[in-house]
Amino acid sequence: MGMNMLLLESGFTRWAGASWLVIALPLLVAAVLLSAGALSDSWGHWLGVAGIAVPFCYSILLFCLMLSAPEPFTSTLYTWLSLGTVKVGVSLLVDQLSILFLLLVTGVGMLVAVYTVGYLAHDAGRRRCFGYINLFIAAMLLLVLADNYGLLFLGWEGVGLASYLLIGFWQERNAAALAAKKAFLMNRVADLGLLTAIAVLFTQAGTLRFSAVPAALQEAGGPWAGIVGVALLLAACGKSAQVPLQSWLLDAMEGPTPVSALIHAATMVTAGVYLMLRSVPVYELAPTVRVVVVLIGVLTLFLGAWIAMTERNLKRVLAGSTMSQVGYLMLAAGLGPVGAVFAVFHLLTHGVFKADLFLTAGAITEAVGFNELRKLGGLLKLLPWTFAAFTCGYLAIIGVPFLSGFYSKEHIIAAAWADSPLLGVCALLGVGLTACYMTRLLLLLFAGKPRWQDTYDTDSTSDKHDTDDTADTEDTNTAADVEIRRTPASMAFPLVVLSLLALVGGLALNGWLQSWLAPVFSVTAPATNWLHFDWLSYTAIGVMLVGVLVAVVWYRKVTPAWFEEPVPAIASPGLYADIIMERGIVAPSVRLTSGVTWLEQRGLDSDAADADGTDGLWLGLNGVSALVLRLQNGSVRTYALLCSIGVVVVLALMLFWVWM
Amino acid sequence: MIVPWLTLVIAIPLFGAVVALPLRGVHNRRVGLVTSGLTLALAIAAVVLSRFYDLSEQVLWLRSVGAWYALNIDGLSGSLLLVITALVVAVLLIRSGLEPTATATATATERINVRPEIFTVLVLCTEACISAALLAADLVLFCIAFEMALLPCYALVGCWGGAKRTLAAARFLAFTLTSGFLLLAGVIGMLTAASATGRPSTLLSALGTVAIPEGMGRLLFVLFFLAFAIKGPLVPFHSWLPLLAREAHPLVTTVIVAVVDVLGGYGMIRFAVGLFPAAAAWAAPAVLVLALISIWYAGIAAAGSRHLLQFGVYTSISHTGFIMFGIFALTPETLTGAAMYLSAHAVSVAALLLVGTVIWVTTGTAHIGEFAGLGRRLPVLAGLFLISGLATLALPGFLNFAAELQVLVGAWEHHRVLTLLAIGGTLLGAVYVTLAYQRLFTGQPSPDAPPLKDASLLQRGAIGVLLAATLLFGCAPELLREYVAEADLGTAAIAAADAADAGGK
Repeated sequence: MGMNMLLLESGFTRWAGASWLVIALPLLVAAVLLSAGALSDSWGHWLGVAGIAVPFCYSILLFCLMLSAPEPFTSTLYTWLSLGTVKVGVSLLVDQLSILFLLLVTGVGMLVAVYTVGYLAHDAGRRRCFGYINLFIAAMLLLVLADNYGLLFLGWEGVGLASYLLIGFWQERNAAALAAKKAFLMNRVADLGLLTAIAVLFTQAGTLRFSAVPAALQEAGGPWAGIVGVALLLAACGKSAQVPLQSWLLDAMEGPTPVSALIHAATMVTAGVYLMLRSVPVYELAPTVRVVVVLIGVLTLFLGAWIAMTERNLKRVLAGSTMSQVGYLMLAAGLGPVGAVFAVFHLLTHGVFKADLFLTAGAITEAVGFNELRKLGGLLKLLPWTFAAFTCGYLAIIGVPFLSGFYSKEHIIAAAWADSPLLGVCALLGVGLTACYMTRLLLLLFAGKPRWQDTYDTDSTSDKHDTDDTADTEDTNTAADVEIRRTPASMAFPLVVLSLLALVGGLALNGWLQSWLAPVFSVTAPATNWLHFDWLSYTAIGVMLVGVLVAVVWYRKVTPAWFEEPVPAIASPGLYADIIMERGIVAPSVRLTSGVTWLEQRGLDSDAADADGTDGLWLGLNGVSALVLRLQNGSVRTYALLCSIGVVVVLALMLFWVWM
Repeated sequence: MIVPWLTLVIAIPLFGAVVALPLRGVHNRRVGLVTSGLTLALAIAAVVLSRFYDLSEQVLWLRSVGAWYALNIDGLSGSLLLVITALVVAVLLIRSGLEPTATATATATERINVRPEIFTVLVLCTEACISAALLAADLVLFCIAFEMALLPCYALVGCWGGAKRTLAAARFLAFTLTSGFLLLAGVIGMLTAASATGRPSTLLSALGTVAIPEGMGRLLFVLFFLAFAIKGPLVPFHSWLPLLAREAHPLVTTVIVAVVDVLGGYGMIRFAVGLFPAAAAWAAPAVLVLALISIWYAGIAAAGSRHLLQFGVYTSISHTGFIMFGIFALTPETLTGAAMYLSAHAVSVAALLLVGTVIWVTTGTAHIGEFAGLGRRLPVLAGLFLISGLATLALPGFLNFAAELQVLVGAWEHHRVLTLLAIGGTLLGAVYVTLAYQRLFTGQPSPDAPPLKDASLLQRGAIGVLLAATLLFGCAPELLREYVAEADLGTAAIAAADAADAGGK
């Protein structure tokens, strides 16, 4: 027995030491797919799937080995860079937390990849898409395996790049190109926070390693823990689409739907939360900043729900919902170690059921050809299996007892309540809102009769956020004869797996996860008995039912005319976020840029002949040269005089300086 | 075995230039490529050998002033030597690929067909001058190489390009002559100071020990600083460059920005700071502000630029700001970072400008439209542009990031507010790169647009190797950092000056 344990243990360290391969493999695949060009069009997608499947198998193996010997393992490959005395190592940390992320990223990643094979079967750029997805997987795995903030930043920017490339995948569409740019820039704004945090940690803490930073900051004293906390929070807000840097996520829905499922729902948007989780001890040192984290979480929880309530596009509703749920995660992560455990719990279950919902949305788009709620409806009879898959995700997210969302959300509510009843009420309210907007979506999609048969002028209502998800946008508006296309097996299989996981995931993780994560956050979080609920659970179930009921009353009967009504200003989905950014930041920057450009262009063509005088230095030079020309009169005496004057001046100057 | 490796690095391109002069057509191009390739190989050999042997050469040349023909190689000059020799190969490769598509009509990009053989000769001469300046271990020798580089560059700008190339050449000449004059004045001042010691020598090693009075030191520092700030260029001294980018042939712009302007940052580290550490510390606050203005002003100008090559040079000016910021933060980390930034920046901006060159020649216009849809028509060039842009904006994974990180993190300790402003400046890179990419490559191409020929294998290879190098060193920047940090970057002198300053007070 002892011998057996020893073998397992050495097996774990041996396998964990190879963890760099799970980053290198998808990276290599990405490089091959992106540089081989059309040569790999016929087999590239399967190579792309393999590039994620192999890391997934590895993660499972590592996880199984770890179950018997749960010791964190750090493998240092080489020193990336020495900054003074601080060495930033390429060190990968496999611990109880990162292994869960490894499983989530590669697991959902593989299912999404299989789905994409079918989803983009008729798109000429499918191979390129797989190249980007593999790049994303590599960067995301680097992010979650890094054992210090410096290396994490490498992965952090890598996923940002992959997100930029994938949102702009259909870059011929102007909206997609603009959305990609917006996402990249808003994330770069947030990255200034991470860069500042790294600069502060370098100077004040003298280390960038997760394990050493808290102690070093405590030793440094002063306001530094708080400053690092604020800077990291800024970074997390950008990546996780939290207030005030949330608006890019809605536009990011311009990307292919499987990408939205993987990057903008299950994995990348939770990277900000991951950063918070790794920094929990830092926030323990700065309780005030911790409160800000919680507040931002609550704010986004409500704002996201509002967006999901008011959006009129299937994917954008789901994006609002993602924002809102990540708000839950942020709130939980801000509650301290216990909350952090539950944040991981909800992060995992959310990753599964939201991926399920997004992939269902993709299946609907693929079947009918568009995704505006205005034109959908009545899909229950047409797409019964898709309905079943969507319902699994739906029941999970609203928190029906025994399904995955119930357990994970329940714990967050309890932790929030324990922190302050006000927070508990907010968290409970979130449950009601979630139930309300999800029920609305369910009714708009599946209830009643299809609305695409109703004829009306489509152009007057197609707002600028049109997010048609098919490459051939033009065809989708002539919707009188929508032909339902069959969902291919490669798309159905991931849906089945995710639906099942959405149903049973919470029950399976409850209790086990708390003890599994105990060493990471040095705390044993309480587990709910799966059958005996306390009063808070019953309240949550009650609130959820109220939410469902309200939505049923409101959206029981929806006619196309309902969508024709103008949206009242207060109900505009983004709550002015885009307008504020446009007027407050973009417009002044554009004015500044055109000012500088004007100045520069004027300077270009000004010479002595047309002295309009913006480029002072150039004109000055011309003046000097004119003066010099006048002095060159050919007289030797003048030259000699000038020469001696020059020498005298230079000598005088030098004597003056030397003497001084 | 006594082989003057460093002299060979300088002599081979000169020899190649002489051989290429009477040759025409393909022979001329071949001589150019072989010579530049050989120079690159020699440079690599010199860098490798210098790790084991002392390659320095010294011959007394002018006894009266103590001027030596002295060459040496260290981490700073060695890394830059590798970069410029590699870039010359890339430029000549791209040029040989451009030949068949050009016709007799005289647009800016095609004029290079007029007496093309001279182009090879001039580029090789420029390479020799810049190599000599980098390797010079003697102030007078450096000064001569610095001034000599002006001649082939002036001819390059004046010979090929658009309608107003003579104006561009005149302005280039005026600014560069001023820069050279200031340097000359500084050198004469230095000679005066050195001759006071009785045993004059202009060797850098000797000049380091010359005691210069504070006021005199500051005056000389200002002269050196202005000379290199124009070369860099930093913002108020930059107006020769955008005009040159618009009027000169894009390959000429590439040579001047990526190869010749390296001397600005190099001279700043080795001479302005290296010889006058105390004066540099005195001027540092003002220079840091100037560098910040460069970062922001040129970055904004790049975001607004609608000309491919001007866009490229504005990014270059903005990054020169970062380099100067690193130099004048005056800490070991930032100086090493700035030295690495010089290499990284030269390579990435060269890649960007070379992509711009190919796009300009292929499409016949350098105008940056709006949703021009080139991505559909030129997918490979779009990809290369994006990767060059990402390197330029210092995305982690590229060498530029490692350098920028060192500069920012190192500067934080002493200049918090200024560093925060510089960190904010990193955002500009993302803005102008994504803006330019969106304008050029995204959107639907107009249906009647003729098909374009995407980058050839040769062009892909030449630009791809440059980008691969920045990526490789970006993943393991410690390799370069260790090599660069071995050089005397003036940090010891700065520390001594600091100590003296502290002692004085």
